[in-house]
Amino acid sequence: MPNIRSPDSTALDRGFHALADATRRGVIARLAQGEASVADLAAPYDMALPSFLQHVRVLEEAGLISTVKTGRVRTCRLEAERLAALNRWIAEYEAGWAARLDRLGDILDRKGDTQ
Amino acid sequence: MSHQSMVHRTATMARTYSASPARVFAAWADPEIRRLWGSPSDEVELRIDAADFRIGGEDQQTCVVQGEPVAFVTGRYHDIVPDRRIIYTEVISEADALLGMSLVSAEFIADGSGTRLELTLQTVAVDGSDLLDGVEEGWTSALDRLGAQLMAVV
Repeated sequence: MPNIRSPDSTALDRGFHALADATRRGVIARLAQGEASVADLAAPYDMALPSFLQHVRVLEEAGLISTVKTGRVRTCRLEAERLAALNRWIAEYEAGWAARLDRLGDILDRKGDTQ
Repeated sequence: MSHQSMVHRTATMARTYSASPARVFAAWADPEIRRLWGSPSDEVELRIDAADFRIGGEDQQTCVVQGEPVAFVTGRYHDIVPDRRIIYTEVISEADALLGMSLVSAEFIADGSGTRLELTLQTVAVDGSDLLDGVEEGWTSALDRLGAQLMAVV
């Protein structure tokens, strides 16, 4: 039975809020081309770094991006589609099992007259 | 790369077969029979490279599509109660990249002259290499989906 409940409204609100800003949409568009450091992401914007970091934090809290700090460099990457890809993989894996169980039934039926 | 994403999910499924629990159990225990039904889809041929059906034993299987190996599955049996229960883990990888693994619990329950099979899959998917090739184009569709979701809510 697929999950037909409405999407988590808090998560939806966060996602909506995160994308309701031109700077943050710009960051998403840039990250669609690959990982980037906060400094590289901030470069095109005429904005103090702390203000830019606020935008990064909003995107991260919405689950749209993840960041990881290595030394003094904080690297950002898109997250939502990654998780969607992993969810798709599990769905395919589970569908594979459903197909296996059906085929097992066919085989048991076919051999049914031997026992 | 810098860190790994993971997704966890538990699924249950059940089937009722006309065969006895002993015959259904045998179809899992015998690699020759398992090869016949163990492929995840009709396009995939299951090659059993090693089979060792006992507690602590390890299976090696390769999923083959048109003669090419596409995925490797390593199974390890943790609990076997003849005609009743099998608990094992399946590790699925592709070349040298781990894709995911699952704790598979199969219970064989006598149901009249047949068997009710109850299966629980506790799966974790990790981000392997090829899985993420479509990220860029996928992002566009993710935004489309988000937009559609928002439209549906408003």
